[in-house]
Amino acid sequence: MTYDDAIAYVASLVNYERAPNPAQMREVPLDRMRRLCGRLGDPQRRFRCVVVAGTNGKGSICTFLYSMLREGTLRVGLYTSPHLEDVRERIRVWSRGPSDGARAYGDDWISEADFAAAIDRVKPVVEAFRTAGDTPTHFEVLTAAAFLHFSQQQVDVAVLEVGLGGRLDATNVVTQAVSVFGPIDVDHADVLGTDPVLIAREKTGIIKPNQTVITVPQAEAVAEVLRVACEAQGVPLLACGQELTVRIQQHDLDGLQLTVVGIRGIYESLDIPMPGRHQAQNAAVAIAALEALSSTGVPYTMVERGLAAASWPGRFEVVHDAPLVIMDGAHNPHAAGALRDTLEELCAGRRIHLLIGMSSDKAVAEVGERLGGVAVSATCSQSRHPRALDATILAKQLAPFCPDVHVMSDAVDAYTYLINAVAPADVIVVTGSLFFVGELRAALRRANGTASRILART
Amino acid sequence: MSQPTILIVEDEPAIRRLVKETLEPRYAIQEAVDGLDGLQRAQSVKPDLIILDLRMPGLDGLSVLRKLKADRQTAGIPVVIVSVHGETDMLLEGQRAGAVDHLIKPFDINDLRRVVSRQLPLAD
Repeated sequence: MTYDDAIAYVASLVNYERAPNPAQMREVPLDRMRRLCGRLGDPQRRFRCVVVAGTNGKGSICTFLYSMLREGTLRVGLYTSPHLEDVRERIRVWSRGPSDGARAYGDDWISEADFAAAIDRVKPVVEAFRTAGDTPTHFEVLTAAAFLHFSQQQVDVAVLEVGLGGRLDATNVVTQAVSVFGPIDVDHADVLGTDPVLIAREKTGIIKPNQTVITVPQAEAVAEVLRVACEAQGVPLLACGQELTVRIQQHDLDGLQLTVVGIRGIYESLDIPMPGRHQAQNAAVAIAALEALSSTGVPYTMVERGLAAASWPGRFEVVHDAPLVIMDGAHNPHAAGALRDTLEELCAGRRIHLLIGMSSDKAVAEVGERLGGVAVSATCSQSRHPRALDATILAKQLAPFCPDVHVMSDAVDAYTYLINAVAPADVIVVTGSLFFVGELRAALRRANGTASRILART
Repeated sequence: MSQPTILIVEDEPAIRRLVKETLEPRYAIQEAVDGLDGLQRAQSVKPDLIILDLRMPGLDGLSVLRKLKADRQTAGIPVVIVSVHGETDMLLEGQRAGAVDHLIKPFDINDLRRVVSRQLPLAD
């Protein structure tokens, strides 16, 4: 099987990330993923796992933890979703020991050959299931491929991001050593509903006996669900703000400087190259997860270098200087609120122009309500994703919240116009769905270079 | 001597405006809103340079380029094609079809000025 064959095969499977009606997803049982892994020899049992759940911040927490683990001596895997530009971003392995913080773009992605090999191994099992009328999904197959790759690469620890929810997510076939929760709020309402308590129950469905559970500060009702779930399994719950604390020393467009008091140590003056106060809590729980994995304590340099080298493209990522261009896939109200807070703090007094594309299944009005007020204009656009909301409809929905709303359905045209038309002191914020941000980011990375600094950075 | 004339063939009004504002008044700018309009204006205006977007609904840029080159009246007009990343095949086909240069979106207006002045050097 060639890499292109593997991509085509994976694309032929039912993909709820791209389905027009993701609500059907409720019907996918976890049992099938268990049987799929069983037929593959249960590769997920050959390494320790940390599972990261939550509505937002999962990717940042995963990348902080993985980045710190990369500075140690263990072989480490990372499985995240969705991808921004390339499916291979989802499956990463670092096995070359401490890298002194030096990183190269894509240096840890699964190779095309290994991706093809993993899909080649999963395919016969998938086809056998298909014959029985029980075909696994795109996400199940990628998750199984990640497990096979991690096992084949003999990773010691894998950091796994939950795809959606928790209890029924394909990642929940693992027996993890640590569960980490980012902020729990409403998203994917058509699958998970709109009640944060019910959403929290789905997400805490990953908690199992004999593990450590770590969480960022949560709303009281959600915190209660977490406490009950931990008590039921007899496992400790460590909460940021209680058992561990974080203090922000500095916050600017280059990122944050923090001091974290973890469960085993104090880590002072840590630099994180990702702006946004919410990242402080994400970093703190990632440190606590690292401490929970270790039996001997964590060296300061591992934390310091790992956090300093962490990057999570498309999340408050500065890609151009004058005008300042920030890319942030704030696709739900909670994330939009965090983006607004960061913009209000770091870009106060500057004219902000939104370039926005959303998915049709998202709470567009609530996102608009949070972001519209900080901007002087909004240019509405759309990705080529099947669930992309038509730019004209988006404009109508944003109009009540934003003063100067335009439609430019081609995102690259819209970016080309804005980058040249706005004043150098202005700020352009590319936001909305991760698919939208990812498509535009890919275009920028491959363009001439003068319109973006991504090339130089990655 | 009168200014050189540039025809911009581009379906997005904001991009046409951007090109016009960047290149005027040194050049006279004519606008075409789609491929068909572009062909007709190329024949009637006989511009000194055509800036042609490849991705357009209806008659796409490559078809326009081939028709321009097949028509004796317009075959000699230099054409700069405009594309986005990932359309390398399209760019190569455009070069084969006779385009003299290309721009990749998103471009900076300095990229635009550079490409235009390579084709139409102006005396100061």
